[in-house]
Amino acid sequence: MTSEKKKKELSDLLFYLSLIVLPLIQFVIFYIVVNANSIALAFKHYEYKGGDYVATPAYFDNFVQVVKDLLHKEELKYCLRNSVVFYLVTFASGTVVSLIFSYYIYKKRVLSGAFKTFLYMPSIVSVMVISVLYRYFCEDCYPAIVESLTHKVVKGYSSAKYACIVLFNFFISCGANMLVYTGTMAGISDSVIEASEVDGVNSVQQFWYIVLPQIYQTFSLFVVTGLLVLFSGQANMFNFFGLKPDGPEFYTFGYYMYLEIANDLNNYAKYAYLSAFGLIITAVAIPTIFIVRHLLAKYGPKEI
Amino acid sequence: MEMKRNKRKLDVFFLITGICLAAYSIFLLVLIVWGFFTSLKADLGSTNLFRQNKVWLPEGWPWQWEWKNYLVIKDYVYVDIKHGTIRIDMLTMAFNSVLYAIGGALVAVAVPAFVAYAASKTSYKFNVVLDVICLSCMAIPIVGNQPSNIQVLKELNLYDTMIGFYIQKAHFLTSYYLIMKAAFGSVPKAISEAAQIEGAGNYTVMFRIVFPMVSKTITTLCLMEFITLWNDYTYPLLYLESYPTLAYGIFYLVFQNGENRIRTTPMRMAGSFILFTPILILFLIFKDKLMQNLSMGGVKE
Repeated sequence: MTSEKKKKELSDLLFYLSLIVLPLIQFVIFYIVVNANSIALAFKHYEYKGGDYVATPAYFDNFVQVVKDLLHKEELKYCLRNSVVFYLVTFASGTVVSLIFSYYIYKKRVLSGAFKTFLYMPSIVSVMVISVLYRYFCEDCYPAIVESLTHKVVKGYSSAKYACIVLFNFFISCGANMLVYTGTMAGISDSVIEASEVDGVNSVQQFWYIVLPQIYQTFSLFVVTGLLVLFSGQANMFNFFGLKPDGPEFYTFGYYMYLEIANDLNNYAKYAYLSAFGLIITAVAIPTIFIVRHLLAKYGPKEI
Repeated sequence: MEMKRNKRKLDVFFLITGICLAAYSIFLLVLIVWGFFTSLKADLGSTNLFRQNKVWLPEGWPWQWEWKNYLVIKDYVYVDIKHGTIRIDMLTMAFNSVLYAIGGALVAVAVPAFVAYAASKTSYKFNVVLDVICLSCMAIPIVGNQPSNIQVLKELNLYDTMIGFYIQKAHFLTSYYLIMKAAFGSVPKAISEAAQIEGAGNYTVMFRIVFPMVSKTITTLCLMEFITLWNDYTYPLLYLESYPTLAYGIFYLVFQNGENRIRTTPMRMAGSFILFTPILILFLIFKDKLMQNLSMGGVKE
């Protein structure tokens, strides 16, 4: 009996290991090793000698250079401004508006099925395709409509690129996470909702005091993971400009870093600087995330 | 009286939300319809000149529209790789897209599903570590590790290979792990226990009993991941130079192709719809599965 039990325990353990060992090895190589190597890269300096890149210790030179650039380089100042702007835009739409829309759909109000389809559409269609449609619509169709209605000549996308891209990011994020929100809302007990309705709670109160606290765990997870947009998001700039932006005023941290790598894929000399750049951003990102998590837990809605 | 006032507030809240949703939906629909009709107009030598009719339907009957734009554009959907020495055509890119999207989706869903199964259906203490790894990696952004990632892949001879891509996708540090864990959590333990009493082994219980019970969630995630990968061009651009996908081809067409013949709005719309159409068909077929509600188990008990 004991030996059978042991055999069963061993078989269970082997089964368990068979499921998790390979993903854990992958995690070690592509998360731990990659990030450790990224740290190591930040302290190196690469020189092209004899047909190959040769690494020498750079100590803190790369970090000093990044800080100097952050303080003085125009394009990195734009990165900071745009990353904050686009985070706020996607936060406002991707979390707040999306949550309200999801509530509408959860409550099965008029045309909620059709709206659900349209909200989900940007997750299905390539964002690049939508951005191309949107860009040319703003450039060609919008001015033509305005002209035919008001007989005034207006310029399209090319004269207001920044505003168009901000609007696009807002538009595209409105349905973000909608399926998960509605799915989580569907898990709320019907009796709780019914009891609140019997008590005369209105829709806003029901949303704020019952629905939001119930799904708060999911909501705060998205708020925290959404912070990635601030530190590494491209804000769809890539979909509007490709590898050649119209100027530094369109840079975000994510777009800047991606361009630096994609435009010069085999240049190891750049790798070191970019790794140091990434580490400095990460050093800011981690405490920011913990502060946001703390604030969400402290000031989040409370169930009545 | 109080109830009446509440009812009125309720209506106003949903009315405003409904109007916003209607405006959103109409704009999206207009954008797609306008793009499609624009792709059927000509830039030169036709009665359906885009310059003369930028807003409305192309003139004439549908068979008089510029359907040939699609025939013309397919010859221009190509990518020059290896410093312009090799040209990859549209068919090869479509094949790469299939490999990239189907293989990637299977790996990206299967791995988190296996780990989530281990974490939710066993009681080892290490399960806490799995949760912590997943949640911390999702919540803590590590910025700027792409150069290092490329370097490691090159060291392992996995850079610019499809296998390398699949291996990179074989992780559980995504919301799929949480979604699958919530799905497995909803399957009563008694079912698998009963099967084990009947003599079923761990793999039989997993593949024949529990996985079929959460097959809807697995299918939804696979479809979602397939669509994401089908539309993705940023990863192939950095990591898979030799395997450009259709999405990358369209990106190349829009931003890097220097041919004057296709630098027009109708042609770019036609190119975009080549990428859009297969996904639209897939969406119409699997609409219900794709739009199935997902949950990360975040409802407070």
